[in-house]
Amino acid sequence: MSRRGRRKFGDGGWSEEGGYMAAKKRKLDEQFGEDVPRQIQRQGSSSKIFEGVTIYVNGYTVPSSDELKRLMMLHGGRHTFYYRKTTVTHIIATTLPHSKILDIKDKKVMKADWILDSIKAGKLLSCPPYMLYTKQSKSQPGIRFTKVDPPSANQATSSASIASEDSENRDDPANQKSEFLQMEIESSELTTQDPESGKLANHESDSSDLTNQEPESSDFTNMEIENYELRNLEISSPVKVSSQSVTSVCVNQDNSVMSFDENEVMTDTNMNDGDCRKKSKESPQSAQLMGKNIDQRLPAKAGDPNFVSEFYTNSRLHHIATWGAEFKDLVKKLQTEGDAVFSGREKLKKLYASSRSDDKVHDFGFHSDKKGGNKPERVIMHIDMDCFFVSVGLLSRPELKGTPVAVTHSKGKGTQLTNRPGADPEFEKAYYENRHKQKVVKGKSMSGDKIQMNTAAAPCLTDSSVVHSTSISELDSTKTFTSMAEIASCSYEARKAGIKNGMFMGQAKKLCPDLQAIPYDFEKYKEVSQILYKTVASYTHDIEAVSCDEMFVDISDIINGIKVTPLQVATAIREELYRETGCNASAGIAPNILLARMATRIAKPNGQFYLQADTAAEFIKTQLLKGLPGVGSSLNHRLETMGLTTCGELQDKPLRMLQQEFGPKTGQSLYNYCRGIDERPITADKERKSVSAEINYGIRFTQDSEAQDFLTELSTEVQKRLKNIKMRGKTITLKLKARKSSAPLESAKFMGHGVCDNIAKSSTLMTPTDDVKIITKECVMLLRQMKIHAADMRGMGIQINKLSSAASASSGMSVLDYMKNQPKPSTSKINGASDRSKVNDKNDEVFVTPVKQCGKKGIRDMFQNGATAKAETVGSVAMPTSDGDLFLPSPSQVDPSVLAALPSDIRQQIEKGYAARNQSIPTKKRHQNNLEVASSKWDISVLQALPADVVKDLLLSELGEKQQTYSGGNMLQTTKQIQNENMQMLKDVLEAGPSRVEKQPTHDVVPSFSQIDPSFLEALPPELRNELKNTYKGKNSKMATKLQDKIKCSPVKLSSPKKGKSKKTSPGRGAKGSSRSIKSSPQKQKIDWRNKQRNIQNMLIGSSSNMVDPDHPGNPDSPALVLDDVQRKSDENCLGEEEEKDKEEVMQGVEKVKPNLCGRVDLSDVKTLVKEWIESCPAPELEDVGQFVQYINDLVDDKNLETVDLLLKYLKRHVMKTGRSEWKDGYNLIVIQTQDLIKSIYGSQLKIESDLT
Amino acid sequence: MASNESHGINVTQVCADILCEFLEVAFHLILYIRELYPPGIFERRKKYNVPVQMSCHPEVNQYITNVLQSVKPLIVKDELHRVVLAVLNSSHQPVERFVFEIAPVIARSLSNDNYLLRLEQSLRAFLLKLNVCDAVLEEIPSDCSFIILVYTKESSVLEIEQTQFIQNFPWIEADKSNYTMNDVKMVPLKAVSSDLIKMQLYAEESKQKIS
Repeated sequence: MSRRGRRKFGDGGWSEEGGYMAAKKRKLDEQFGEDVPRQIQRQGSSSKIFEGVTIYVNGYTVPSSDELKRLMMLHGGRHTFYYRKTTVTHIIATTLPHSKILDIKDKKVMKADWILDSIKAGKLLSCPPYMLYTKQSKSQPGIRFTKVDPPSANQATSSASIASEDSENRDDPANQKSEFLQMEIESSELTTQDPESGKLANHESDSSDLTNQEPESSDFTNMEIENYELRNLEISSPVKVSSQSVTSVCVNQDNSVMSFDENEVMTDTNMNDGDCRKKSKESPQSAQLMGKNIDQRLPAKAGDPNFVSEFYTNSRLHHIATWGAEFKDLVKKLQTEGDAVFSGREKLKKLYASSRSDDKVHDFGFHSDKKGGNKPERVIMHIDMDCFFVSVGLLSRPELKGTPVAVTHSKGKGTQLTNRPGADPEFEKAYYENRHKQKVVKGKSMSGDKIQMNTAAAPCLTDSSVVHSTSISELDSTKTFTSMAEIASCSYEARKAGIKNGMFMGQAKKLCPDLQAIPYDFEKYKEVSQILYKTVASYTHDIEAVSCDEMFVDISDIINGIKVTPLQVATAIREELYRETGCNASAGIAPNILLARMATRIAKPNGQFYLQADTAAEFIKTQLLKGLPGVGSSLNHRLETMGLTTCGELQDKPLRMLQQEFGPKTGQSLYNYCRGIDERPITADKERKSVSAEINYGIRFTQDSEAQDFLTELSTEVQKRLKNIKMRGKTITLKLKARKSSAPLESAKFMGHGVCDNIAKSSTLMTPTDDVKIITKECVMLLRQMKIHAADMRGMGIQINKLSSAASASSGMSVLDYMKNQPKPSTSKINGASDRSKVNDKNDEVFVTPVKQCGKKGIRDMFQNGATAKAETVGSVAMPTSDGDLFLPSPSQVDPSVLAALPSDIRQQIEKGYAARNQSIPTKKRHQNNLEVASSKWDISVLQALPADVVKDLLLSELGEKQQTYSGGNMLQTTKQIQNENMQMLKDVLEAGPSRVEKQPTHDVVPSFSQIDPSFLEALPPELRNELKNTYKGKNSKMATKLQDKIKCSPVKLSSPKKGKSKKTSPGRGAKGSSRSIKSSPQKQKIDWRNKQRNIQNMLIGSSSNMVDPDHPGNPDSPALVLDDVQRKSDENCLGEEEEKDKEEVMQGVEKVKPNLCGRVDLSDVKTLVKEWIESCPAPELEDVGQFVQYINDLVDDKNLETVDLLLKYLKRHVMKTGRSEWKDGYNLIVIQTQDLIKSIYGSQLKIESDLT
Repeated sequence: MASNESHGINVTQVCADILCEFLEVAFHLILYIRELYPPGIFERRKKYNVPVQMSCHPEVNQYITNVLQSVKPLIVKDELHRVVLAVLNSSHQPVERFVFEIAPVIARSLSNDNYLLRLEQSLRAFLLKLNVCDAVLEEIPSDCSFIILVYTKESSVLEIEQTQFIQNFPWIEADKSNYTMNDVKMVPLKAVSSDLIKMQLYAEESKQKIS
């Protein structure tokens, strides 16, 4: 009340100041400004840490709002008492109600500690760790401190240098071609610079930089950023970190010939405090693009035409993964060949022959179907090479044997690096720390990969192709060495020092200063792997390939076959492996896969261990849970919190509890595994569930078109993979990594993805595909739906799910199937044509091929052209789809005129296409006939007709349809029989006497009248309609006379209830109309059966005025009335069936209709009708009797003999009442026919009197 | 409730159960009505709210139960065309047959008959009709026995043979003499056609019943 009152009085005089509150705020701001110098004076010190920060303190905080205000004054920030969206950058609070959170969702809400810690640290700390809540939506614009004010000390200089060289290929002659391009920019203030940063080619000088460099380690550049390859990189301009720091970039352009190995680009960036270094792996293309776009400061990586394919040809992990698949294929191939001779086995046999007395079994002809599982005792051997990469690497470096060695990209010496512009390592570090704390970390396991995450390390954000690892320990590691190259494999000597696979080089170096780094040698790995597999395959083909150096082998057959002990087999294989490859392998033997793998752990290094079934139980109890398959870091953590670390402890837990805790599946497998139970068989052929390609590295787009181009490339890659495994997929998922809005623009790792939101969206196609175009189109659509700014994209992946084999897909689901199911145009052909042209428009990109080129292009193009041509002219049917396959419409849908108009060579091609599909080439006649209903026979007349003009075309298409939908109706059964005969006769007539045909030339092309959709007729212009009507009149009158005799002499066959048959011949109602007309005068011929029915009804109702004598010549029924009736009929019976094109469906629909007599279903109604019928008619009409019999027929068909019985009895009573002999005869006729029918079906007759006299 | 698998109810299975139960009741009733067994072995029960007679003879009951048990899978699959209770005279010639002809229902649904009231009514009507069927049928000779026949597909027979093995209740192909009668007259008794069950019952009797 008081507020309102005040307002009334002109804001109490504050109006000229913009209102009271505005004035107050202004005053407070001024006061704050005035207080600042005073505070600083009092405190004696100040800083500018919080410059640009305006805080608003909400509620209780420690320290208090006043204290915070004071601190802000001292350190250059601002503090307001009132929350203002425009000025406040941060809100300080300890708790916030939900409503407030919603209200201020676009502000950062910080804990007060942030301010204190920032002051303590002397700089503005990154926000995330201090945020009160972090689940802000990704739309949060946030305030990005991307400029990361360098600490004042940073005013000195930072220098960054990128050096690149090809470490592996240095001696390769091809490499000699590579040019070094070096750019060096030094600022005037440049103070510290690595001596060699400007002289990159001089590698040896690198080693002088840091401590222990072995001679051969100079093979590697002192590398902080590894790059695979740099091509075409000609520009590199200084990238300014800040106004006073300078980056110098030295780039090596390398030849792309040996793209297998990575080039390594070194980037040294050092900040003055030097506590932050990063190193990351790079893709060549990214650097290349960086060069391209370097003037845009944000080096866009992806988008180069060949980015994707080159990325994959160079990706280390991609190779490892592909090998795994390759070897699986190899094993599969070996198994399908089947009849191999196992040379190794023979050797083994010879070797141990002496020690055995009974050497009799020669089981060489064994096949892969003898897989374990049903065998009582399986013996599984797990063969694993000992530190594979290292031992292969040491083959060429024998002098390093016995020393700690690690395979990594890093050269093993670190330099310092400066922060790159826009990067905020603090942010990422804090982010990961935070996540780690929250235990939401889920390291994705990479099966078949040598890299296992160091458990102490931070989350491993990996994907199938690229590994980006960021380690906390790495980020805050010491000043000495901070390489972020992960160790792919390390020797046992190194392991003794505590180094683990997956550890970062910097960390490892700390643990073991003597650690030697050797490079990858993919060619060699592959070679050795192949030897490994060949060797094992010479013993048995029961191999499950796990990766390039690891496999499971079912040696039960060997053991049973040649009577050796498992350990002897292992020894033999291992010895042979060592002979062949020079590398050590370990083997674990156990009754199942799980135990074999565990046994290998005991066996390592270079040993073998046979875990026998009886000791397995004891053995497994001591095993750690995290060694079980499927127990990853998060699951292990959960188990640990339950106090479980070993399998023995887990064994005490009941299955139900485990399933409750971990879900039914995981619980079950945990329960089994911790008991050493593992029923998995050795499988060579694991079915693929999905195919995907994903790149999360080097994605820096500047505009949407780049993203789309990139998608195209990625799709191509996916397609390649799909084709490789001969699969097609139905579901397409687009995975996107978008920069978290609070994350800095540039990631800590050079060109890495940084902190991201993972977004995925999928769409399911109608049919499985492996077509690039379709995949791309879908993906682009999905991308658009996601509405992510191109610049924020950090990673992209396409995944194809729901795979089905390409072979079955093509045979089972041809495009033709869809053509068949497509609803035909319901109005007219012209509409259909326009529909189609619309389709064409939609698929514009597919149909751009100019007509002229069609001769050169494939059949598909021709058809596209054909389609467009058709759309222009007649508008007949050819339905191009965007499917990439050879596409031909169904032959019936090919417009012969178009076909004829095509150049002869093209036409031949089309015809061949059809021939290849076992489809007849549409000839003109056939085409006419098939235009809509291939199997219909009714239009023989059409066959003989001249090529149809447009109107006739229209008619044909329309009628063809209607024929199917309208021919239903139960009351038609009897008449149909007649019609069939009529049609047959008509056919005979037509075929026999062409001259007669010529007499009725106009009628030939017109289908039976009843087949015309009345709505269609109505839609026609009046004159056209009249013409049609006249045609029908003439036609029917001529027919009538001819048919009459035929009808009379053909007895109505009621006994055959074959609906389907009559349908198939599908005489339509036109013939019906004519059969009806037999008894009527020429004027009345168009009365169709329904109308007749009406007559009966009218008659039965007994109103003499309304009664219409069907035989009366002056029948007032006009054609319009007929149409009405037909319309009504269609409403009643055929509703909902119009769309059904499939004949069977139509038939089903018909069968669903309950048996009725003139639409009456209920027995009482029928009885009433029958009563009226009997009472009103002196004698039963033959056709009425026919209808009644038909009704009885239907009832019998409907398995309702009861009603039949009752009805006949009823009929009999009333017939007896009338006492007329005509009726008695009628009744007798009905009964005889009914009895015949029932006899034919049931073999017995109704117990009713069949003879009334 | 509209579909075959709504609310955990498998409508097809439910229908099969109902049908089997009904057939059991009907068989007992026929045995009573046609006086195949002395009235003493029957006791009055109430089913579908009408009084019915049920045999207390364990072996008779066992036979009927076994038949229906082994037939049920066929009903579920809509492969049972007819179930016939044939009354045989002393020379084991059929003189009378009660034929339950079962037609498959295309789309079973409960939507029109949520509480099965109408179905129960129809079944009740069947029983009542059976109760009075002796009015339209000739008397049967004394010393008659009965046999239950099933009409189905050959493939289903093979399937039955698998299950019968377990139940120790083998089926054999019927002799022609078991199911053919001379000079047959048919008396339709009742028909039901609903969204759940479509079935009709008729009796066939041989003219030379007495002779």
